[in-house]
Amino acid sequence: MLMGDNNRIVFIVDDDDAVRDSLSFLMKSIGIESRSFASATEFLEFYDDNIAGCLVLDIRMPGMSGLELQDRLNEINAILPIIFITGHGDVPMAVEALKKGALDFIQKPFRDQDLIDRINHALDQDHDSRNILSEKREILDHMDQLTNREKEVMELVVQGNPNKIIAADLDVSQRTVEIHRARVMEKMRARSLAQLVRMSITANSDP
Amino acid sequence: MNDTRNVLAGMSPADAEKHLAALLAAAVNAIVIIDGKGIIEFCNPATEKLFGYGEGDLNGKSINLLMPAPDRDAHDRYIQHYLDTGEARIIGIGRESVAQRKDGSLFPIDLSVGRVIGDEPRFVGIIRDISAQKKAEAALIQERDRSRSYLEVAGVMLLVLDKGGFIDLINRRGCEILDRQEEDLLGKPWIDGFIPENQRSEVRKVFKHVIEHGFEGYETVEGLVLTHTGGTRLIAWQNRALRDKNGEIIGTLSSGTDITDQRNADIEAEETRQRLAQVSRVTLLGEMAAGLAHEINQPLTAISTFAQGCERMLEASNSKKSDLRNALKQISVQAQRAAKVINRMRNFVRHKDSERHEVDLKELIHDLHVLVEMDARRHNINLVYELPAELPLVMADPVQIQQVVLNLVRNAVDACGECEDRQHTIIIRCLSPNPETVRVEVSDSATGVPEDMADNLFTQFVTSKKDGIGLGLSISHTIIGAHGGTLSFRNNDDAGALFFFDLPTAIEEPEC
Repeated sequence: MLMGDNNRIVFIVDDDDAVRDSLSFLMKSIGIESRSFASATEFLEFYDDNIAGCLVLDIRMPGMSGLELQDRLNEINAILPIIFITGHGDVPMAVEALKKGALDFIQKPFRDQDLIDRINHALDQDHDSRNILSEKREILDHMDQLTNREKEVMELVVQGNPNKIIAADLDVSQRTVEIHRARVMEKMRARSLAQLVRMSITANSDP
Repeated sequence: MNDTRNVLAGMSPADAEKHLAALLAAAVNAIVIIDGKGIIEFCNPATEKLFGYGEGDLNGKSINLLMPAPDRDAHDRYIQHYLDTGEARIIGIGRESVAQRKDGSLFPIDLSVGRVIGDEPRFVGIIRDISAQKKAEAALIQERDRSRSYLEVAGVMLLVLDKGGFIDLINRRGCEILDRQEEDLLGKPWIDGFIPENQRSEVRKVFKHVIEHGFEGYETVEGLVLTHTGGTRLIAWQNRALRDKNGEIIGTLSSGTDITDQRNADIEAEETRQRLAQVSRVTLLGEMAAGLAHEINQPLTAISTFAQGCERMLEASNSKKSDLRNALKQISVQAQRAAKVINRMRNFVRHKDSERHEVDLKELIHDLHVLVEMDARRHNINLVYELPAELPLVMADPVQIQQVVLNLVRNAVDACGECEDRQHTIIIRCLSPNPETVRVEVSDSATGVPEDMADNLFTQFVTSKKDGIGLGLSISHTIIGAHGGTLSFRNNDDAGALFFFDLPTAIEEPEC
């Protein structure tokens, strides 16, 4: 399904040349495009959050460690899912990484299938995240077009208030509420109340 | 000289008597003439003076007066015996005896007795006081005995050989060491009798040198001697030439200390040290086990991933031959990489006898890189090498020196690991401050050596580490000491500690 999808790149960051080369070779063998970096700094210089994919990251590295790179990516709300590669004694670090939002970790040496499964899972997740994100961006774009009054009306509508209550709350006529409501549905391109509610939830979700 | 009797014979009796009286008066020795009953008929002035009597006091007295018991009581019988049997026990022979003065005191004399020719038995005795001579002899004997006792109580073996290499003197300690009696040794050839065969030519060379060139120094020579039971003892010898009063060399005097036990103790101590060093190396590796596992895991991961990638490529039948070849090549390189780590470890802990040869310290340090690097990496420490292109060689046991360096780096890593508030740097530096010395420095950027630890840092079981046992530095200190070097430290001005050791450079053998 994802094979040959040229829009996704598996980023590999590992300071060990051999491990790095072997990972990109494995990616090549299953037809997934990859890009390797010998250090976290090199990766950050290149990184663009608009590129879909996932990050395969060595947890221990000289200079900026894998965990530090994760912190930096979190600071900029990067979407890219992270799969950590860890050694034997590194489980506590891996747990910390998971708490901070890493998708998964895998211990060296690993079965290729285990890594590939994780990578596929990560790419799916990235795909979903990006879809949700683009949907959210679209909703936010639409919401930007609402007037302040329309935003107030939308807020009260998605809370499930009938027009009569909203009119009383805003101290306007029911007719005026109806007009605002129609404009909200139109601007938000919502076909039903249920859809508008979903849009509101999506807009308020993080990140 | 004229015959006295002839001189006297040619004189008138009066002249002869005058001459005789003058002779007797001038004689230093006492001259006494007694009759057959032992009565003094005549004595010269020297006699009266010697025995403490006044002039003429002795005339007509018994000769017995001049001798102590038992001779005093037996003397009459001596004379009678001679007269009866003609068997001379003293006449014409002379002997040493003891005489008694008037005041009763005794003194040693040399007595000679002659019979005066004539009808009546009559004897002449000449008495010489030999007190002074006896005293000198006694002093000599005492001196000899004292010297002898010095020789006997001496803790060292003393051996005098004559010019031919035969044993002239050997003291009691010497006999003890050889487990032989003095009489079995005196006069025997030393080298052929008591030196193991394989060392004889060497000892002969030393002996010849001393005999010919009169070596007077105090250089110590070590060598084995053979004991009675066929065993050997190791002796440290000092040899000197013995000269007569003209300065001619007449033999050799050697003093030897039995250093067999001491040497055995030294060897045992060295063995203990080596075992301890080995234990410490194993401990060191144990502490580094996690890092070493990582270091082997890396190539294994690469190998496994490359291999699985190959499999997938072959299955997908979209494989490029060059990709596969490259992957296979990587697999073999990585297998060798893992093997290298294991080899380094094995060499490091393998117990073998200390082996010293000329080594290049920077190569030793370079070889350690695999073990050191992953340790530093694990703690995210920046590892910097400052190794010059050219460095004098040192005479060293490579594994032991590596152990010291690794130990210092491990300590530095641990110290840095305990203050992870900043990025740390460990510098491993090699330099040659002067042509006689090569120095290795390990500098860290941690908190330095605490003041209260500084004084006994190299003592066993002193440690600042939470789970340390305090062996590493003390063993490192011993190892460097055994190599004729010193291990020391100081705190850096900015941060951390600097440990360094100096080793003497290998002396270049002159080319033959």
